[in-house]
Amino acid sequence: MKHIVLSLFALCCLLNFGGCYNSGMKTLVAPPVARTLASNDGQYTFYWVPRPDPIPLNRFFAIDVQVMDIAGNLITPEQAKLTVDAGMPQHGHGMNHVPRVKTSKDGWTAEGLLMHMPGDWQIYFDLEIDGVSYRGQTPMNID
Amino acid sequence: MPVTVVILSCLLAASPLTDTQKRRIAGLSGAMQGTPDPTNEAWNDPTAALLGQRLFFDTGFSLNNQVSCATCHDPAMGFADGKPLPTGLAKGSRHTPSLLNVAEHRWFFWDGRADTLWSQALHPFERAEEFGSNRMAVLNRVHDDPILRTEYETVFGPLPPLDDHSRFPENAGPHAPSGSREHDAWQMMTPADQQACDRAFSNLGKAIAAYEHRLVPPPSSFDLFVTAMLADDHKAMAAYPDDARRGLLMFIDEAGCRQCHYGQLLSDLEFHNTGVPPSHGGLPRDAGRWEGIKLLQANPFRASGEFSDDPESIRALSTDSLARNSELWGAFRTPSLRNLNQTAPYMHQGQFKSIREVLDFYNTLDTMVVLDHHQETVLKPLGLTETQLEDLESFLMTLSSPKLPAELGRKPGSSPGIDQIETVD
Repeated sequence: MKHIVLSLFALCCLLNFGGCYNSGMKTLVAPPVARTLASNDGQYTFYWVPRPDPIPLNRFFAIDVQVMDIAGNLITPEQAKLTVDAGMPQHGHGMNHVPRVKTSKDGWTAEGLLMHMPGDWQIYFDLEIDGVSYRGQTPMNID
Repeated sequence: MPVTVVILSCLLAASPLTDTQKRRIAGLSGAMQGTPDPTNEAWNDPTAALLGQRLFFDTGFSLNNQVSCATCHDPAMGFADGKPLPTGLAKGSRHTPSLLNVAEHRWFFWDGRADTLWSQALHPFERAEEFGSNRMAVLNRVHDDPILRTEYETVFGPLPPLDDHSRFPENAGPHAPSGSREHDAWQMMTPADQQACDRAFSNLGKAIAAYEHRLVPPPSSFDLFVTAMLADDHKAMAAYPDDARRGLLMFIDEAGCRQCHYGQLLSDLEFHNTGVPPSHGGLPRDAGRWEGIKLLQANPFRASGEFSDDPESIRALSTDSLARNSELWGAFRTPSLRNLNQTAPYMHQGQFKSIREVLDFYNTLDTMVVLDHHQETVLKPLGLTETQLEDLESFLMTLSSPKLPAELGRKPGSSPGIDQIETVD
């Protein structure tokens, strides 16, 4: 029991007090809860958490996203536009739904994603700043 | 077939299941009780189900008084019709899908142009090749029949004052041919009266859905195997045939069937173009899901429409967020693999007479028709041996369930037909 309480306390600290990767970053999306992913040019890092986690087969899920630049500054929805998508390159198709991206002060939430087949997917994060697009993509096996 | 392959196959069938195999197998089974539809408040209303069952078997809604839902969804044939293409008032262009377990689907029709069971049930009334009727004629029949009207008003409240023919014509409908008397009559109605009739019309679909979602057969022998597997009951598991077990293991692994056929219905509930050659020969002309999305999103009876009982439901959001991708041209809904013993022929035009023909197609893809490079590329020839194909077929046959209760397969109040009872299994 003591062990469980200590673990919960540590988790709360991590999520609410000590989980920020940077002093400017809020607590929702941060390691180790979040997965991290660099943009293709290495300039930006995407912190993302799927809900639910792990991603279910053929059921809707959401992804919370926050982004930092290489200097550790939080990129906000006021500064950039984010889109999230996914596809199965081996099969030559994407998802059957267009995700909706909602913004908050510090990040984005993509809702309405659905991976309808088991197998190897890619998740795409496209960040647009001043007319330039930066992509981060990561493999995701669904079984 | 080499002896070594036979021996390996036998060993495979007898060996303990891995955790991954168990998880995948368990994912193909589970209780099917007609997943509730929040857009239909009459879903679980027994009076609505009774009304829906009456409507389902009533030929009086068709132009020639000879066609009902049961004409193509015959209880004696697994709620399908056994033909490649159906015949109502005229010949249809797509094969009749079975209604067994129908409520578990996400989309309805081969192209998914309906997103709820109640919305699907409305289409045949007004389609020229099915019932050939019109919206006001349908409502007037309910209005003028004491039993139908009483049951309707018990569930949904009063019908519009249809006996006021100055406002409500006897024959009128939005889908009547342009320039026809019925079409013009509908256009002459006030928007409020049209809406009241649309509402009443949608309620008929909701009643039919309240009946149809009960068409859930008992568990199949495969389901019993899964129950035994989850209970670690090896004695009960041993009752499952060895060839079916080998076929099952191929299904969830090397044959790749599970890519599209998984879940309780053994369908991903979505749409794929598998290159099945059209029955008319040549290249496909049916746009399938590509057109289905367009029709669905324009349909006032969709889940997010004004006649839905929950336009904010997940079904509604799902429809409104659909992506109309190019690979969906010529794609059709992944069919359920349950009760295949009752639902031949197969595919969207009934192109294949037997399961073996279906398996042979996927095994070689020799007759596959591919339009161009904008298509899905998931399929590769399976290259299975004769014995492996037989094992797969044996597995698929264990997905067939015992018969439904006979009272679900006939018009309420009618005496049971002997043929019907004996063949609804």
